[in-house]
Amino acid sequence: MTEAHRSSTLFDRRKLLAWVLGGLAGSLGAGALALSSFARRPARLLARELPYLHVVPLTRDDLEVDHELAG
Amino acid sequence: MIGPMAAERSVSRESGILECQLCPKLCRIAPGESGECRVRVNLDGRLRAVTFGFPSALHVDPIEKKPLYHFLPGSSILSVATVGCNLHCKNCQNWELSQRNPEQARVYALPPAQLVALAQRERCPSIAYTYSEPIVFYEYTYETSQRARAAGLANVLVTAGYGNREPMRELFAVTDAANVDLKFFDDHLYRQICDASLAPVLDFIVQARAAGVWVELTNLVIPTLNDDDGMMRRMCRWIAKEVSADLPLHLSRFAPRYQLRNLPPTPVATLLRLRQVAREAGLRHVYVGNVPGNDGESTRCPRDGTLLVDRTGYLVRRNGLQLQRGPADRAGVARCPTCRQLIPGVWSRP
Repeated sequence: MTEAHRSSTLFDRRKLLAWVLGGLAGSLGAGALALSSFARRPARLLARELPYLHVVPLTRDDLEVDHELAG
Repeated sequence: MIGPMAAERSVSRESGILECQLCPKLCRIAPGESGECRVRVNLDGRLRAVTFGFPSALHVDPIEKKPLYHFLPGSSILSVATVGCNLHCKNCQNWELSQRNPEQARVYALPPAQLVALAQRERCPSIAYTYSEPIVFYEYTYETSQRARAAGLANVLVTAGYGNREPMRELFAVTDAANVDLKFFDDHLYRQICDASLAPVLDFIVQARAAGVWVELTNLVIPTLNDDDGMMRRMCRWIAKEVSADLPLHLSRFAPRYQLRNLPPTPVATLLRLRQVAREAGLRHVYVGNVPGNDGESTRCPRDGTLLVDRTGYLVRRNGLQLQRGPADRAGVARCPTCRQLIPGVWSRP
């Protein structure tokens, strides 16, 4: 391997490492952005619908006096 | 209307934060979050009452259970509650309802018109907004009350009385009676046990009475906290002076619940002693509650002691009041049949 060829290979490796690190940093940034917008999502979900309410039918028995309840 | 009702009593603060102005807590609510009550939520920059039309408890009760003893005695009352409360009392008997998020509870889908229709179907002359705290489901209470009034039904609040003046003024305009829980006559205990304060509750009582609402008070007597004669005397003197000596007071027996399981039930002797203190302080109608079969559940004439309304538990055994019907648009009055003493209350509907 000639001296010129060795220096060219080293240069390529540094360039590759820079690309990898840059990509990693970019991914982390994008991930953080996605996470922060996910954290805000529940408000928008709630605004659209109320799927979290557990609606049940009212029965005759439900109307009886409940002595455990005060008031 | 059913679903997350717009709750307009709020002002915008910085960064999308809303301040709910319904009660003295004045919660500052960030987007997607709720106030302390759990049911008033900042959704897309607007305050929403998410339990509007979604009650979690619905029962046909005797009105004596509220308790109301001087308001349509012996009648049935459709009683409704959603989850949530603006107080967090350590002794709450209904904590599974009051300290629960909307998504944790079973709910019925029942908009105001259907609730009124249900009361009519069940032959209830009134609807109670009760069990948890009607102030936090204000919009549901208010709209149902308007419709109930139009249908000839009465509206009853069973409340801790922790609401701000302006919204309460509007609510009182459609309210016929209220049982207000005056928990302690001591601000420190209100803060320590309920995460609230005394002054707004006293203001609520005075305001309700001035607005023409029939008011009765409940004081839960908790051993070691509010079972001393001095606090009872101060409270009853305040009631007699600032509101009325005719206002019925229910001294209720404590049972260990929720986060106050370390304290014992109230001895019946303590209730009877405090009842005597309340009478000596000037109140004419003082009852004991949660002691079925005790004479302190019945209404007697404050002048000659005649037994007027004989009660056992929630059951009215005999109503011996002498009723005089009023004009077509007004309720009648009631007197002691022996001495003709006028007995305050709402004894019939126009």
